[in-house]
Amino acid sequence: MPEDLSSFLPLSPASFYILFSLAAEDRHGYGIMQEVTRQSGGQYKLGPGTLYDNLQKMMNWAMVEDAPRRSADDDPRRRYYRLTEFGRRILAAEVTRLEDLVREAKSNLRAADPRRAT
Amino acid sequence: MTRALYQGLVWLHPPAFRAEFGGEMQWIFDEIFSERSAGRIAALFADAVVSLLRQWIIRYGTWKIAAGFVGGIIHMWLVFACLMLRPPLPKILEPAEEPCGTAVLGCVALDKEYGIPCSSCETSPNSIPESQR
Repeated sequence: MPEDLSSFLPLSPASFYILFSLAAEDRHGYGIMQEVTRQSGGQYKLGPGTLYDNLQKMMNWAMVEDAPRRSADDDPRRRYYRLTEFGRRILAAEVTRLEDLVREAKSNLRAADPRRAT
Repeated sequence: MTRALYQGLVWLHPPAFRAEFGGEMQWIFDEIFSERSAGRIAALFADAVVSLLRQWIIRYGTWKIAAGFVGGIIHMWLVFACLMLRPPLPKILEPAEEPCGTAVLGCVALDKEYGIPCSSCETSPNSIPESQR
């Protein structure tokens, strides 16, 4: 029986970008902020308050979990986070939803294009 | 000074959130502070204030207490307004000079026996002359 993830969708922009930034590798909080800025081309900047508010929520929902430190030299205040299997499924479901949305938007734009109508 | 101010904002967050993420928030502030970008530091402060409000009001459920308080104030205000706007109480009937003689509640009969004032004319049996009883 397929899992019903619809209650978690659509994701807020902050949640989407956080999951997206953790999809490729484990990151610490500041690393997530930098990656979100890079992914969005600088259009979406996440502050620490927004980041940890969303991380707290996603950790409670078991989408994200703590990851082990990379080295002993790391600042002890620095924590690493990683995507859980459930978080990955949520991100995949959101990407599929966005793909469907983009496909339909493109189709509607083509249908409304006056050059194609002639 | 700026760092201490941010530390204070972090400290004002709910204890559970502060214990879990406060250190990291401060660490990120230190990283960005070292870049000496006034715009980014201002954005950090704005973000911390929004986070503070969101944590206390939404995540920590303080909105329920606030809603209860506001509801209580509105309720008290409505009761006060109703008391102020209510019509004046009916004037207490002055005892009639003459007994009305209503037989239903016994202006004559019952009053005489039990000493109850007449419900219609409020005349006390004691005030009725013996000849009229």
